[in-house]
Amino acid sequence: MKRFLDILISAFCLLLFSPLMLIIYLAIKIGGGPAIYKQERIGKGGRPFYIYKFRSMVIDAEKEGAELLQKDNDPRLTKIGKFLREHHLDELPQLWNVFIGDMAFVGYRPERQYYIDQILQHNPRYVELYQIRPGVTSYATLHNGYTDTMEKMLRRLDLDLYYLEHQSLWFDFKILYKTFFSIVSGRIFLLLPCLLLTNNICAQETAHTSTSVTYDLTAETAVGTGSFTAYQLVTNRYHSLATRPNTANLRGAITIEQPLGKGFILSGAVDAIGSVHADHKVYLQQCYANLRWKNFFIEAGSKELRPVLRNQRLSVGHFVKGTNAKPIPQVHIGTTDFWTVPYTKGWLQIHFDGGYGKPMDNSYREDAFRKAPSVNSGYTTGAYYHQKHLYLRSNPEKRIFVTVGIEHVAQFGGTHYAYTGAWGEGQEMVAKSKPSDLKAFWKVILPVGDKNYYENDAMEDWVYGNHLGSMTYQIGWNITKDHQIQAYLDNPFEDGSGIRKGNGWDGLWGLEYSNKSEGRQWVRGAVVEYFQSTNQSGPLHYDSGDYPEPIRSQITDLVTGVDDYYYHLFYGGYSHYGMTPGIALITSPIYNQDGYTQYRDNRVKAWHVAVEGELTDRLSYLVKGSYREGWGTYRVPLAEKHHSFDAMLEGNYRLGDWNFSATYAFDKGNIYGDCSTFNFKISYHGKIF
Amino acid sequence: MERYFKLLAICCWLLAVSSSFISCQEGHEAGDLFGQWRLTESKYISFSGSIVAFRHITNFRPREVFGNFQHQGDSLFIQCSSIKKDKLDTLMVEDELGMKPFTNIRVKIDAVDSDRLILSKDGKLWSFKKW
Repeated sequence: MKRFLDILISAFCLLLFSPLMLIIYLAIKIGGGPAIYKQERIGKGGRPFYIYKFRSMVIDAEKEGAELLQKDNDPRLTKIGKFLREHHLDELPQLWNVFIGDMAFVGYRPERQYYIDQILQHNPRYVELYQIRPGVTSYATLHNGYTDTMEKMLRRLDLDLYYLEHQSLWFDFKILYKTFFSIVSGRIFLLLPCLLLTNNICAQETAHTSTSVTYDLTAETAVGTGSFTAYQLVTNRYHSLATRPNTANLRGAITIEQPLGKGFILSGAVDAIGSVHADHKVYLQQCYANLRWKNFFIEAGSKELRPVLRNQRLSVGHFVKGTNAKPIPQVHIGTTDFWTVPYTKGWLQIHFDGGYGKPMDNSYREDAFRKAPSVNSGYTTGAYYHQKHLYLRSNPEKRIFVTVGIEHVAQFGGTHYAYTGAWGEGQEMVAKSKPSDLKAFWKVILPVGDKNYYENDAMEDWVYGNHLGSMTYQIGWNITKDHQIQAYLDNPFEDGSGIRKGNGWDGLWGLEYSNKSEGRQWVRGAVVEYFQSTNQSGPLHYDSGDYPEPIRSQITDLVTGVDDYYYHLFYGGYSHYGMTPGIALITSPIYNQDGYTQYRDNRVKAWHVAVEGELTDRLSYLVKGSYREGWGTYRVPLAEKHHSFDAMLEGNYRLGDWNFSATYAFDKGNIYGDCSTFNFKISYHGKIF
Repeated sequence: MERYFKLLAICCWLLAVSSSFISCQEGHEAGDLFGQWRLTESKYISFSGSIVAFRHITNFRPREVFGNFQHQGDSLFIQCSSIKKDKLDTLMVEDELGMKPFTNIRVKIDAVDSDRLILSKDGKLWSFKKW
């Protein structure tokens, strides 16, 4: 029961405090160095585990000499660290320790082996504590405070042993209650939100609003032959299903929505996936808090964002803000849907979103590089992420309506590690960092830079950061009230080249039919798309500024090209955990069987068709297929042209809150090889209250 | 007012689409030669704007040599330049590709279309495939 409550409360607290944790994280990061501090402690059964905290001390505070005890007025505390310590905010990451089972909310404070060895010399009863999980707070902490002497440690042990002998849920509750008030007392910082929360709760009662708590459970398996789970099953599903063959997963999500009155709604979710035969065994897929008011929102955390214009089930998706990779945690603001601009009588609607985030795949990138150093030249960690889009649309209720807009993503900051010299020739790993201060956050909003960078010895390239995006031109025709056709072009750009349309026929050219009629419809929607990325802005790139004399004077013309969609010299690939966040027809690096971490084939031509509809009131279907050919990249063309035909047929049976799905998908060609996969999925949507 | 916004929206869209459809390919001044041409699995020649690039790829790592080029009738003139004044660049173009001298190559364009490019000089033939 105690463990169940720990999971439930820690999940809720992680959700509730995620915006605050993100702010603290960024505040520490901007000051430089790692934001999270981890230290090995000894937990239940005497097993070591890592305890997580926000770093409150200067880097390498314990590097020199013996392990040091921490004091409240420790000179090694940073300014932010001192504030965090005073408000116990540095302990927030321990919610994760509780969630994954290393710790409980109430127990005994876990100690380092170094101190345990000393305590054991005075009192061997310490080992009795190994029966239970260590806690975020403890009975001893209430009465003993921070321990900085052996005397206090032994006194703490006595109190911990007292707790061990008298533990109960009621005792835990009293400790939690007292801990909370000991933290809150005298602290305006924490009292204020409490008062606001109380005020809100009162307001809600008078407004007769209520909290909604729902949950979703999914069990899924994909079995078959071949080197991968078939492409269409994995694609555009936020990398929730593994690319490896014969995989299975269990997924659980809890979503909370709380109206706050006056149109404000606070919501959030925690969504975790546990998989076998997968790229990630356990992954927190979503964890976010969202505050919305009418058509506008502010959100912090990691969320599977739906595509704005492209059909999520049918289309190959957006060029950069797609649905193929795991979501990137970010803080962003925007509109929940198209918002009608006042005073335009409904003729102009806009949809925007913009924010900053941080990819989670640093360890993945480093590990991937170290697994295959002979084929990789380097890797980048610690990069930041900026995204935005703006779409303008005329009234979609009219017979003809148009949409234009732009989406833009940038990678910036971070450190690039690369070996000097060729592989195996006594190389040395060299690190180069890009600035990630507040100025950098401002600079990436537009892809601009120092065009005389080579003369000014600037640290940056011509353009700061890796910029890519696409511009959309779309026209819609309401044939009747229920039938609509839209034609569109998403024109990609990379580092500015495509913005001036210098990439020929490159882009996603599409036609979408949608049927909004009520009742069963044989065809609910259909999409035909052509995607090309072969031209880029030409087969070679030459800028005399990049080179020394005499070539700089001998070849003076500027020829831009070799955009290398999704590639950047410093940041490597625009990918998250090896998957492209954009159009998956450009094969993601995760599929490179030799461990190469970059895109090997970004010059492709592809055709894609998809249809969905209903066979009965409860049974629906989805059929889609893509054929593509690839020539590699301009810098390294493929020796043999790539080609693949990937198709799937899915049947969905809905029974109340239950959904059953069965899919068969296959790949034929030399990209994924010949793969054949059967997929079964059962999901349930429930409401707690 | 309503008509104004309707007109504005449609004009914006038409402007955007027309600018897209009257699209030009960067570097298309190279004419029919524009693009990347493959001689063998590892040897390529690319034309864009007024610049030519020779690429030799070994172990996924390209070696690149740039040059200026002029295209007059069926004659092609190329003046290569080495980035680091490296002798290997000259060897790559003159010995491996057989086009010489490095700084003043003159070849005849026997045929060029959307799929192939055939160059010749003194009975030697280079047959490229668009890649």
